[in-house]
Amino acid sequence: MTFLKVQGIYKTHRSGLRGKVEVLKGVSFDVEEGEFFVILGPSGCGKSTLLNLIAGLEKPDKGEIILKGRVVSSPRVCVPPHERDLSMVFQSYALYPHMTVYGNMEFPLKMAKVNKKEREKRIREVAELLRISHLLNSKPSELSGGERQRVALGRALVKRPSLILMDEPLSNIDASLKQEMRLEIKRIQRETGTTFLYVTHDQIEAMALADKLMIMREGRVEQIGEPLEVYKDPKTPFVAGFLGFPPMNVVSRKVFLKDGKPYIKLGNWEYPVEGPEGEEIVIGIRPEYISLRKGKSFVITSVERIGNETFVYLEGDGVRLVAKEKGGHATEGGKVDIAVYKFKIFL
Amino acid sequence: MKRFVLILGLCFFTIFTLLPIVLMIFLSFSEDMDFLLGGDLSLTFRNYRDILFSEEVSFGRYIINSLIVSGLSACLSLLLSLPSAYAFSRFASPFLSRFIFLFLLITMFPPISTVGFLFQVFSALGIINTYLSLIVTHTAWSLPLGVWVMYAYTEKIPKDIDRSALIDGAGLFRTMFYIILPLSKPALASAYILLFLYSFNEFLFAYMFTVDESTRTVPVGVALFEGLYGQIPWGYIMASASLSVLPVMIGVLFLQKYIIGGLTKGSVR
Repeated sequence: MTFLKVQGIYKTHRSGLRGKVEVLKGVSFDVEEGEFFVILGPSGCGKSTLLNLIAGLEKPDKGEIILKGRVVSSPRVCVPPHERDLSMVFQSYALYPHMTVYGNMEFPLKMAKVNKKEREKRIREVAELLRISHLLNSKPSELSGGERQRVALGRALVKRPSLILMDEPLSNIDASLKQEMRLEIKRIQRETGTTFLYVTHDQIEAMALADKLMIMREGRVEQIGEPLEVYKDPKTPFVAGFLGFPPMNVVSRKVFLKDGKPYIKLGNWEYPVEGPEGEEIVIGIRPEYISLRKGKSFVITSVERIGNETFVYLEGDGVRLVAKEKGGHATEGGKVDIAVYKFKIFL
Repeated sequence: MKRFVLILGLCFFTIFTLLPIVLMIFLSFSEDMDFLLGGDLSLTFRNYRDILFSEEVSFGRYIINSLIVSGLSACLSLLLSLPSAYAFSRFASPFLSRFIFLFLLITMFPPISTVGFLFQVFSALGIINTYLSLIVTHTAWSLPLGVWVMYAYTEKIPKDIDRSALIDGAGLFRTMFYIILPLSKPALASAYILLFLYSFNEFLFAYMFTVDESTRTVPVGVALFEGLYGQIPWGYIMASASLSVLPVMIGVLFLQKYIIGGLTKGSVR
């Protein structure tokens, strides 16, 4: 049995000035038990709405959400959030400011009428797991961003839900702490074996955390797969452009005939393809698969040296490209040719 | 230069506000009201002694009546305001919430236009000259103000907190009781003061619905001093006015510590 099944979800939001906005346009996917499932997409692609629907905070216009074999959401059914055996961590943490850390973590247990002894036991356990035992008597206002994040996660964990939803939980934390929290979240997910459904717009977060990755764009699913598989084999130019840093070069080329055989050409680089003359072919090339040598087809417009990597920005043949080099001797204004080791044709 | 103008402005404002009060207190202690026009100035406690202890004037009774009526009607009004404001802030459509100001419409009616009708209703119910008639009218009349103040505040409480509570298993009422109510303490305190003041100072209803000392409130009592002696007893009026400021001032001082901003700090970034 699939743990969580989302089937053909449509959702329209009504906003005062913009009228109706179709946020989700037929989203379907499956999540297996114990999986770390990450939904990645630019802001406004509908990923947070999707999470709200799964949590039961909103109701779909069309489609079904089936959790552990039970239909929890459909246009006619909406099982209240607390009956879904899940909890949620919000981007804003949404801690209860008037309660201590202990009180915050106790609240869901109190609501579930767990007895006092058991409450205390569970809170101590989770606090230890999250390394916040020393903070139990503090108020949220006394905590740092990272600590608040841990408390929010703790509050989600004490209920021992079978599913935890996380809505961009790291977006308010500064970069250095982000990595630490990322590792922490992954560790906790492994140790508890809980299914995590994690929403983010940060591709590094997504790649680092996901067992399975789903990329969304404008209310639709672009691709679902294991992170490396998606990275290596993006199914659409959007996914190609969204994953990787710098993103994949996506260019459109016309097929031309050379000695009677079809080819495409990018600066000095030519490659045999299949297809009629004049057809547009979209190709994607990862920056690391372009290498530079002396030549004249491309002008180097800019060079960024980031530690042991160098991003080289090129212009020529009507396109802009970015190449990634180790070390590298590229200088601005210089002229180069390219060699492409690997690329991908989008149909 | 800017600072100078600011200080000058503040001085002017302070004098403007405080002068009548100072004058009131001053007059409440003076024997002869004509001293401002050149009469003798002699200070005395006689006014206070008379209004507090003389048999003819039951000022103490008025104060107690006022405190009961204002205290209870402010409580009742607050009790109704919080749920209304919460409902308005969370469940009204964006269109409807633009019209929350219509709530204040009821207070725009001149009270005099309803007082006659209310008198008939209260007579029929037999509650003229009871606290109940005053508490009910004061509550009804001050409710929009309470809802308005509470709405402005509950709007500022992040909605993620409600959602979080909902997911944690708290229904609507438990969210209101465990989360919104404790978070609203500062607003509750300020609203309570405003509602209390409204009721404490209200004159028309109190004048119409009370018959004798047993229910008369301070404003009515003070107004009736005049009739008591045939001439205007300024000393008594000033002394009772000065005294009636006291309970309110004590109340404000007591509630002040709750009126602190930033109670939601730390919840959301």
